[in-house]
Amino acid sequence: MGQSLITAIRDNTGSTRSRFSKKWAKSIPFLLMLPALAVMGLFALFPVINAFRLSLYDKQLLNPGETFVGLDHYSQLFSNGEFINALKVSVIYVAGSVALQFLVGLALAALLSAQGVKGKRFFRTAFILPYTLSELVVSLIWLQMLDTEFGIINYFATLLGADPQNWLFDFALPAVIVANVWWGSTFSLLMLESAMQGIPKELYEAAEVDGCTSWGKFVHITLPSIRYVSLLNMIMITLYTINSFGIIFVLTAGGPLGSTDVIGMFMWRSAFQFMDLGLGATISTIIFVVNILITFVYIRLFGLNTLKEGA
Amino acid sequence: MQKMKVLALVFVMAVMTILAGCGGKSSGSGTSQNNQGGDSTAATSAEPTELTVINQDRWAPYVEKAVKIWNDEHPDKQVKLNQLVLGYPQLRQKITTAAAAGQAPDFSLIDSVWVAEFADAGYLKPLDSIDPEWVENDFKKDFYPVFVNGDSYEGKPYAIRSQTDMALIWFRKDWFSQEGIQPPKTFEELMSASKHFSQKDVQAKYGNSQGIAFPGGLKAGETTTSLLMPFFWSSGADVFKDGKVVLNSPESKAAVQFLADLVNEKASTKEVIAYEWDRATKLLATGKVALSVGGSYEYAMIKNTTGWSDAEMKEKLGFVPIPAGGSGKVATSAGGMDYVIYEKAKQPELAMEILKIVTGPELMKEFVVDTAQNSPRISVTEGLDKEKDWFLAETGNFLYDANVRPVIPEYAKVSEQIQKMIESTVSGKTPVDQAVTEAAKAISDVTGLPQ
Repeated sequence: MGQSLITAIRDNTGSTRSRFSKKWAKSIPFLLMLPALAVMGLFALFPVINAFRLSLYDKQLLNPGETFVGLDHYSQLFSNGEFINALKVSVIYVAGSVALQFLVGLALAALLSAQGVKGKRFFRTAFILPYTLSELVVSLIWLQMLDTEFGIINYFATLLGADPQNWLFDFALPAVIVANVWWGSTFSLLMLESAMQGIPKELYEAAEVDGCTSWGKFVHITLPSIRYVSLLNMIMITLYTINSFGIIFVLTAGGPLGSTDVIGMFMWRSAFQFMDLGLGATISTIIFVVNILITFVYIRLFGLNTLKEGA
Repeated sequence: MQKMKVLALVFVMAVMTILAGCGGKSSGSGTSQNNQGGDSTAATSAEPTELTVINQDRWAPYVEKAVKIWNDEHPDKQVKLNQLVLGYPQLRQKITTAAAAGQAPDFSLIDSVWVAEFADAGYLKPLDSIDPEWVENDFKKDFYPVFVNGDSYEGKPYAIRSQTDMALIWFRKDWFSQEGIQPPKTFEELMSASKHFSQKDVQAKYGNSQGIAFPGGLKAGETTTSLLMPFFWSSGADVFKDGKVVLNSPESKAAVQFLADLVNEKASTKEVIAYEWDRATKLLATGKVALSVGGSYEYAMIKNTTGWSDAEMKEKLGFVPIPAGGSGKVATSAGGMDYVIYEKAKQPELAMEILKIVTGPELMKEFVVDTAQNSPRISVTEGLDKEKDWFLAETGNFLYDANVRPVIPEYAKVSEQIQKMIESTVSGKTPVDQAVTEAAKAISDVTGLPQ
């Protein structure tokens, strides 16, 4: 077998061998990828296909049978006011979270990459700390901090002369966005800072010689150089924010009056509180399609060349 | 060809290795496997029979005790307990998944509001099909009538209540005494007392920030339904009657209007719609409100938060059932956790025997006293030490005025509609008439029952 591999590799690199050996050599990469593809198929592709199949059926978790209902679940959802509300809330939650996470991550990454900043190690550790906590712990910390009576945020607000606020009632959506940004910005920071570290110093030196300001260097050198990583970062945090709802689950449970009821919460309620697997699968299929569309939109916005730059 | 075979074998082994890593046995962290008690010689005389159980942490030690008692008394019929212990949030998902996969345990603990859903799906075994004598002579005679009805579905008993709790109006007895106010017995008295303690000069005296607090929305989830349903019952309203949805009635509207008026009259705040399940009574325990609508299970929390001794609790903490509305009768709700035996149980008779010990008067008394929760057995309540266990003895009497939440398979969806109806009216978003009408229609849609 070892001999066969060597022969095949030789064939691949241009040696003249039999037609069989050439074909054999071409198939080796695919054979080597097969285990990974099989695992991906089993754990990534199959659930997606099965979710779509399930969305066409009326399937309750506690009842063994399933009845074909076609696209009923889809039409039912798009005529449901609560689902439409969940879509609207999700758009605001995701847009707010992603924009702020990216900008905060970018600002912190720029700060940590800048020359002459003292205490970088301390700040890097401090900034990374939230990301070491689980979503549940982060949610519980914010629940305490936002407490009307005993929360530290109201404590500081009153020290500054402001009235204590019920953040999770009057400002529920902004409050959950801020909690999500506090936790998620570290991911952007890590990705963007590592990209910034890879920018050749000569570029900055040349710009300095040409009299470029710090802002000019950031806009004309740093930002274009991290386009590919920025695209990946935006895609990843967007998809994660759409799919996750742990912080909302703990802080507001979708309320008050549906003001933080994102699509993930809606799906959880349908599938696991009401045991309606068919409806839950329909929502997860919709989320999947939205994820794919958003990825394409990002790629179009950043330009197809951005992907080629990273390849 | 030989090389192809070797490659294929390597590929198959690689895939199997990866897949094997994804499998594995169930976690042992919450599992107790005990062959409890019995002398060792007796235990070895017969092969022990395994009982599989899914339970919660506070209940699990009592099942272990029951197995030990059984093993001590039956040396030839030893039981090996395989008990998976979970927290409440994981309980429903674990049990539904196991039941749907045909891998239900012999018995488990479930929330009493899930019984109809599980029974309707055919997962539970009627208790009278296992031990009709016990059902007739013990279950129907010693359990409060509310549980005999509430733990039955379509006329068959499916569950045994392990403990119970009820909705109460908690109030600061010491503040009431100082102000010369009597404990509320009617809606009017409740409104009057709540408004009294929301006055600025009274608040300055006691340091509270509102009169009454209650969980009023989806955030508190099931707690909202279980604690506020008694307002409907005491108004003479209900959700279902004789196979029909009867929520859309003047009595229901009066109950919802009363809750909305607590906010409209400034006795409470519309922020109650964003309260967590235990927020209202935490506010009472920290002196921020004079009254709260809470559960009897919060007694221990109030005691811990206030740091009051038993004597101080008696002196400062008052409690009454939900006062009388239009019906002229006080009301409360009876909740709690149930033990159920599964249709696919491998040892249903043995499971029943163990449950008869766990829910028997002796262990039940130990359990309810230890956890400060009410007993669903009349004999246990009557046998309590009235000095030492005064709270349980006094509240036990309220169970004769108790109702259970609707016993229907679609309960979770019905409960959500009730929570939404209360949230939208208390917040002032939807007029009472409209909210009740919409909730009744939605409940009719999800249950398929006519109005």
